[in-house]
Amino acid sequence: MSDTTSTLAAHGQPTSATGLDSAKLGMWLFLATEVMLFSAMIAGFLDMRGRSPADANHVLNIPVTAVNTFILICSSLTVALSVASIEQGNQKRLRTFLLLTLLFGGTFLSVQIYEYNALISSGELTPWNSLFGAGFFAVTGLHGFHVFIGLIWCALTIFWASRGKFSAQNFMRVEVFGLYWHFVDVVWIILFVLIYLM
Amino acid sequence: MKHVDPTKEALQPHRYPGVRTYLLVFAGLAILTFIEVAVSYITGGLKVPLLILLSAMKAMLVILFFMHLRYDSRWYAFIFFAPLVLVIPLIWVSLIR
Repeated sequence: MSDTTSTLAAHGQPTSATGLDSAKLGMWLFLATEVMLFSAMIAGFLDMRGRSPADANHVLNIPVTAVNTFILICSSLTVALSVASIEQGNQKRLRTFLLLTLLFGGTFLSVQIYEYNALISSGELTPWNSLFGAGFFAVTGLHGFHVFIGLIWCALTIFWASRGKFSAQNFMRVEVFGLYWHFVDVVWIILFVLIYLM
Repeated sequence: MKHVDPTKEALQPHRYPGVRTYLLVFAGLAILTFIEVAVSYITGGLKVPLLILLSAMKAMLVILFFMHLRYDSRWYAFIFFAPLVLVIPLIWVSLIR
């Protein structure tokens, strides 16, 4: 095996000295730091919630947020299908599934903004009227910011896909974006239970 | 200078799950979400442990199948799960307070 091929992983991307793909390794390291960031935020939220009335979350709309959770799960499916599509070299399906991801992600964020507006305008829950409110807006806001970054990244990936930057041999950038998006979904799966359902 | 051989794992063609597996995982996530919402309306000591168990199952489905951790190098899994050594005690203490 030549040096060139020996330093290429299955996607045609350079590997690190460990033999692992550099881009993917970097993303997993980043996600490990994100685990610690969100864990610290969640621990802070739980502490604030512990000092709040037991029914502090009764003002939150569980049915609407359950549907929004389902929408985010749909977006994870479309990202997974976009990776599967380009793995088979199907450019059209890659673009279609990424566009659906953008649609689902945008819908999730829109519903979250609608929820914020309803809670703050009615005065039922604001970042400044209770500890629970402060924790709620801090944690869900940080997650929403991650979704926003993910939407920009998704739009860029669609742009690159439309210019034919990916192929069955070269799709690591799609896969790395997918890792980020799925992680954001995992965080929401945990937040939905801790904030809304418990 | 001797070249460091990449691991066999990294050079093997991907064996990621197909569309059928993704759809099954999606169905599992949807069903578990529905069960979570139903459990949230029950009262009693089982509610919180059940909700934590259900959300952990959902998170693992996404991590193992959608994020391909079940199929990729175990180094990625090690990197991702290593912070849990710090995180689990932190969350546990916050939950029981």
